[in-house]
Amino acid sequence: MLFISVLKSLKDRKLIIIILIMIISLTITIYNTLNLSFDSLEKTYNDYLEKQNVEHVYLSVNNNYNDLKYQDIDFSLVDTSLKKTLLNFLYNPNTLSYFEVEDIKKLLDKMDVFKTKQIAILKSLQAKYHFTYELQQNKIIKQKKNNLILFNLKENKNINKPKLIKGRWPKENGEIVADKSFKINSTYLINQKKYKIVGIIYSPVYIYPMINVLNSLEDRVIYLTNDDFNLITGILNSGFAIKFDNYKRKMDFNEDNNDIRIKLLKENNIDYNIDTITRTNRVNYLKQEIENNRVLAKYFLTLLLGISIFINFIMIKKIIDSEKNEIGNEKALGFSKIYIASSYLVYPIVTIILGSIIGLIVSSLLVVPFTNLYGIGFNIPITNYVFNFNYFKQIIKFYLLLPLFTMIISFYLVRKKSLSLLKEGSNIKVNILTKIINRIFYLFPFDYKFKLSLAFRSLGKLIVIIFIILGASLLIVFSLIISNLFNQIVDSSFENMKFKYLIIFNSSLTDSEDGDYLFNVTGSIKNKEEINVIGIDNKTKYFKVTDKKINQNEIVINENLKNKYNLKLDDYLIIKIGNREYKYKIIDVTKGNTEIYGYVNRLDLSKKVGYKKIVYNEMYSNDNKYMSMDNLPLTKQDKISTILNINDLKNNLKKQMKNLTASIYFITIFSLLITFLVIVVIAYVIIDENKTNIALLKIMGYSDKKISKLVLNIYTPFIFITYFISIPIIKEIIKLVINDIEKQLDMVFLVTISIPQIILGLIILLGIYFLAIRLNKSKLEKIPLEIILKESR
Amino acid sequence: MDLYKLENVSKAYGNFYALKNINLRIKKGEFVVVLGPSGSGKSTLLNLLFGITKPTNGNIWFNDKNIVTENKEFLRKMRLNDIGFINQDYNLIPTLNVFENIELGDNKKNSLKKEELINLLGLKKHLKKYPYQLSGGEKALVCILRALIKNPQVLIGDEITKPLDVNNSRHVLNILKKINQTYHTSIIIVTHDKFIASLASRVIYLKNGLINTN
Repeated sequence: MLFISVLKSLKDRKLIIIILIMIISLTITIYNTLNLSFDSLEKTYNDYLEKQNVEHVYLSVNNNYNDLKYQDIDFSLVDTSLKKTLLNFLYNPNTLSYFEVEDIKKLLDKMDVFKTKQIAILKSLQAKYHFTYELQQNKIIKQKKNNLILFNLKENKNINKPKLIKGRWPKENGEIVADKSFKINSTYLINQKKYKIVGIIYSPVYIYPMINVLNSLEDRVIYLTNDDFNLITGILNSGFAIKFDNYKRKMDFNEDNNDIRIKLLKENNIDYNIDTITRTNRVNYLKQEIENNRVLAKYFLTLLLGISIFINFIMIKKIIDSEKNEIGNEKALGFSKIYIASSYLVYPIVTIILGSIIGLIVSSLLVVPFTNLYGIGFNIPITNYVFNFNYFKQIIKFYLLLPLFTMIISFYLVRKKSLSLLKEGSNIKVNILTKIINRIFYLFPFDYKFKLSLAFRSLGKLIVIIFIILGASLLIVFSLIISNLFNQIVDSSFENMKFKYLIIFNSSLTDSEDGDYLFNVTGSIKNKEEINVIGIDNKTKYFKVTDKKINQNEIVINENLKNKYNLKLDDYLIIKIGNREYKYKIIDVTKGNTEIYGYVNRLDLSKKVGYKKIVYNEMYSNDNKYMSMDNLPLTKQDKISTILNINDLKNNLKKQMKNLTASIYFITIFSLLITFLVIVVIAYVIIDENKTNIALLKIMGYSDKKISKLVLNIYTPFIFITYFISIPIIKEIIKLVINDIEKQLDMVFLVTISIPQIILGLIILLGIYFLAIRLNKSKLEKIPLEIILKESR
Repeated sequence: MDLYKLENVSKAYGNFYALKNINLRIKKGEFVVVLGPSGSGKSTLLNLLFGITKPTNGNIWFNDKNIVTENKEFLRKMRLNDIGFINQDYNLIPTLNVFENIELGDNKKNSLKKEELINLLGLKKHLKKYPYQLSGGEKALVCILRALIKNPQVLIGDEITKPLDVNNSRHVLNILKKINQTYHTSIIIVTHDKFIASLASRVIYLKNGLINTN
């Protein structure tokens, strides 16, 4: 009987019940949609890796011509006419001119003299680590606006198989397949030769289309037949795509990698690189992005879920509170406590059931567009959409706390005596705080006193409102900070860089010109973590690391390194460079949120590495001659490996970060929507609770405008006060969350809430608050005056 | 001079007529009691006098203005300046003390002297008290004072002695009588308590929506 009566009362509380259902359904929708979209994308990615047999590791061998020995060369591959020159190069290199030496190196590259040796080494590794491998080459043709990357279809048969998405495979020479930036059935001119594009493909080594973190030029990918590939001229790159039998083998290999490298260098004079930066990014970036998004989403969604449950609980409590008269009557009629209390379970049960159904339906509709949206920008056919109840089960467990809370609240009210529950309004005692507040504001205008007295009428309610405002502020400020966080990283990474170009050289040099010189070597910490040790001069023009002078055995570390190892000033850091370990004293920490690096004295580092003179292998310059390699003399060009334009670097990094913030924007929109609903509920509650007062004021001739000013704005001062008081609390909470995110993302974020952000947060909060109030104004206007004549308080 | 003049006023709720063709005049300074059993149309009459609802037929004149044809703003100002309201629950704001509750009724235009009224009603010692600290009679007096402070032309009361015992009822009614005599404020009280009728200058009997002339 009581259940039916409570069920019927839902109709009278339409708005509040609808809002409760909306909050639950929105939270379930965003939680379910994001997680299922990530799952869908991950499954698509994993399936793609499997189907196209995408490499685990790309190993490129560094041909060390300087220490080349007779036995290193497979002379069966060398033309007889060149044998003499080659032997001359091996035994009397000093008799050859610079250009002759370079020509021989190019020749050796072309003949791939190390191939036999490399394959022998790979075979020996294969026995231990169980993998298949394929020699894969590509040729780069630099064009005006992009780099043309040419692959050999014959070499990509087993590993890194391209995925045909339109058209067909080439049947004869002169036919090519290309990425989706090309038009199918059109012809394309490469080195003055026409090729017909017969198919459009996705290249597995270009899952993320970002070509190069180091270059702003777009890459366009083309696969040619074996003959066409061999004939075409371009900068040749070769390496081995390796696919392990299982992931564990890959991990074993990674673990042993350093030892293998040292052994190979010692015994075979061969060094190799695994996973060049660009290649790793192109293949693995999607996985990394999914993981990053999951980490960020996890915290935000947990926060949202917590706030959603809290709000629902408060609203249900409010409904039950307002029914205390009914509870009193029911008690007086002799219904048992458990029966009365359990009848109020109708509220959480109905809202959870309806909210879940709506949330599940909406999220299942959104998974496809969201997955596609996340997939935009990745060269991967989205084939898998995951639908399951796993995330729903995770979230619903928390919502099931609501009925429990409801029972506790109902019991709390039910245990009170019938008479106290039925007490008429003006017989309710005034709490001590209201009395104090009234005393303090005794001389204030009546309107202020009136508002404050209403606000302080129930301390519990006021605390709840304050918590709700705190929750809403938290969501808003968190959204603001996160949405700006990644741009901050980019800006702070480039903050001290005043140069236009970073020039990376092939080898260590000693000559000098106008610019800042750096000597960059790779070391390791605790034998496992790679660190870039960068030797710099104490006087630099274009960038500033520290105000302090860096002496021998002193280091300035970056923020990320400090955070990762909990380092502090004056600590000692042991870095292994080559085969020797060096102890560095930390004298300062510099900004830098990605990677791990430290700045040391350049002269000291040069000596430690074994040079007698001070050397460099990188240079910062503002000289516009570095805008293009063509501006430089040939002798200089040969020494340079890459020239990086800082603006391009910055833009590339920003582009990369943009993808990561996509989820944040979605969650922000949802959380603002929830904040709005919550405030609508607050305004609704204010009106509902003050219905009689509003009717009284109306009958006394107060205008609707004046009433809305008096009644609806009772919590406005608390919005300001709570918001400003909560900022340090919010900052601390966000710091905790960010600290954890940092550990997982291996980045350092600078959590700062700027004054414009604070103001913007307040404007958003107030905007939402007044919009919600405005929506409720019509409800206020509709309150009939008659109720004062009929209803008792 | 007429304060209220009702001409052929009827009020129907669907097919049910709560008031049927009522003709009534209430003079300025009159103390009128509207007496009748439950369902006789007392509340409907009260709503019409307040201008809260409009009659189905007929006209209601207030100070020679037909409030049936006047707009909402006119009616609001009428309630703000000319009508004082006392209801059976007194509706005091529990978190405001007596003085502040009285202040709520002050429209700061034509107000009577607060101190004089407070003394007249004997509320001086209760000014700092909160409603829960007052007796029923005291609450009624605060409510009367809140209605009276703006110096309205008429005080309209709805079953104002309902929650009070006999002694308190008499005290409150005597105060109303005194107000009527001192300030010449018209007083209209709707009640089913026959005792109140004995204090009135005129009693109007309502039964089944009709004025019973007997």
